[in-house]
Amino acid sequence: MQDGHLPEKLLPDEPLPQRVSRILAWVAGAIILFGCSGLITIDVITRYFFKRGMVESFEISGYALAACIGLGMAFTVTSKSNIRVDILLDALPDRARVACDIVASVSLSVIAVALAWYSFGTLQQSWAMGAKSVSMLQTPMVLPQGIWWAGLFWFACMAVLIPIQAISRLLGGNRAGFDALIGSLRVVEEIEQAGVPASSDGKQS
Amino acid sequence: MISWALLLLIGFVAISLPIAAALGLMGYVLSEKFAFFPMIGALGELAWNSSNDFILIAAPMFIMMGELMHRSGMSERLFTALTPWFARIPGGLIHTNIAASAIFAATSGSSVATAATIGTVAIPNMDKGGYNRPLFLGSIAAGGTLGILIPPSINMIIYAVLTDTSVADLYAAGFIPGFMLAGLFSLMVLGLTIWRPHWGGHKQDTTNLWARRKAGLRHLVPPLGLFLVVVGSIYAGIATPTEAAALGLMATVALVAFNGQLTLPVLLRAFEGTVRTTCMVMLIVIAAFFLNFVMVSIGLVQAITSGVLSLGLSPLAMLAAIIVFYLVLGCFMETLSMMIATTPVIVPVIKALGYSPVWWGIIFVILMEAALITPPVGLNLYVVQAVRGGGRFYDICLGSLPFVLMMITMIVILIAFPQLALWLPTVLNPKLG
Repeated sequence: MQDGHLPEKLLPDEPLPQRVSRILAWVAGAIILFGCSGLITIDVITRYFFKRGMVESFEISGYALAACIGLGMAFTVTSKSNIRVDILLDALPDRARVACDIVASVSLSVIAVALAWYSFGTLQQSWAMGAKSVSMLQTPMVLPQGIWWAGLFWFACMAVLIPIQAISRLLGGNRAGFDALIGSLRVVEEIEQAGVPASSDGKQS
Repeated sequence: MISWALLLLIGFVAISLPIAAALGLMGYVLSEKFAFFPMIGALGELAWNSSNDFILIAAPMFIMMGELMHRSGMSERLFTALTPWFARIPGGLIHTNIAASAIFAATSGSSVATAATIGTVAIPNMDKGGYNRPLFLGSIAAGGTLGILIPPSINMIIYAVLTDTSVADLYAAGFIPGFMLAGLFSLMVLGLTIWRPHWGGHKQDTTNLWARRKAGLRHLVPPLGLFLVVVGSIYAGIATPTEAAALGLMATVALVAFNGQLTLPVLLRAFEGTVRTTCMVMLIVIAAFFLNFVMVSIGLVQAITSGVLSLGLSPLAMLAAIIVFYLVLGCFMETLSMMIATTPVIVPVIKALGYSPVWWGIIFVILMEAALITPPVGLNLYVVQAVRGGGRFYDICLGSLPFVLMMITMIVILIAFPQLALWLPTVLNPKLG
């Protein structure tokens, strides 16, 4: 299948923050595969044969999902995956479009900062109360919440950084670079992300 | 209060704020304006609770399954295997498109992946076979949408979490309508190609038909096996829907590895795709939970429900109005965000009208399927156009239209015979009966 193509680069050339977000997304994916699917499968199989689960997957997989969400969230910003209804945008003059792109990007950073701020409150409270899960494991809640929060904090950093990066590119006259950072996702890009090589002529009429 | 909320939402969406940001900001403004105490403080707790919800864990696992299957060439082999079965029927490959989509849908919950994969395999055969372009392209766009109606379905999992319904019941309820809708699609294509034979393409090669049919059968085994693992294990009482998703993902990894395709790049790209979709959806879910918390606390949901009920319309007229509302909204909004944003408001109304939330869930998913193929914002239309790489976009919109009509027909049938959706859940889950 792959013959005739150059071996695909695992890490595309991109600025460091983007690269870190991508690697965190890999970690988040691995967590889903091993932390959720793997553990749950072990439990289902041992429960089927020995009438009891082995690894408390019910609880741990919940933490795994939270870790995945936290660590992966920044990647939605750097890969422009947050859905926008941009139907009116196409009708606007170029300047207004740029303004809308910036406003949209800033609004996301507001949400991201709020999320990181208030989830820190949750973490802090668990810490202060020494909260433990009500289960066999008695997990100290600061463990899973700490990983989750660290991810959300990175998400907030990225969400703040991206509009700054984009505006500085715009001021530097790099319009294509601006679009690559915060313009809304074009369908061709969306198909490429889905893993199907889109032809160069994927125009929408 | 209602008009405030509506104005805010329309304003935010019109200037194309990300949906998650629009919902979150709307929640904040409503709470500042109408609540007795600031509610933003609850955001952390709400976010944590939705981040480790055991039912939601199924969603990323299904997304990863789809990513892996999509990149492993399983759907190409499925398509080739199905082709000889429809060689003698008017419409030929168009039926293959629909059947392959339906089977692929039974193992995946994503419609973009379904349309993109089937499209890549099918479209090169379109002009070669002399098919009517709109109809052919429409069948791919519409067939892809079956992914969210035939279980498993990511959309149903999220609906279940938002409305506190059982995922197992929703899956069971989607089964008959899902395959019936695929049947309706095929029936409509059959009718059209009998009426206009040249739409159905040239006669296909029918030599050695049975030999080819038999040779392809083994390629049907992997998708059907996965379907049994993911859906069968639930009703055999071995696993909950979330656990079934875990088993399905492991089985998919095993299959891909067995085919020698489990390489590091495949795995990492699948991780990226999974995390991108999961986190994007989860951010919207967190924002929607916050907004919903605010709306319930300030009495907005109750105000809307009683406002709607005080219109004094009959339940059926009300239902019709809601359906028309979604058909129109679906033209302009992305489906998953539409679902997450409106469910907390609409479902209380549906319940107050005396309808079953499981039954409405199925109708709702069909409405979302229609939204995926109605222009101007219909993701599957763009997916097919981009895979096709050129040609008139209008063709795909035109070709999808008869399929939208079939979806509306299916909704009417479900309103007339709710048992089509509600019978299977009661059989599989006697507690309901």
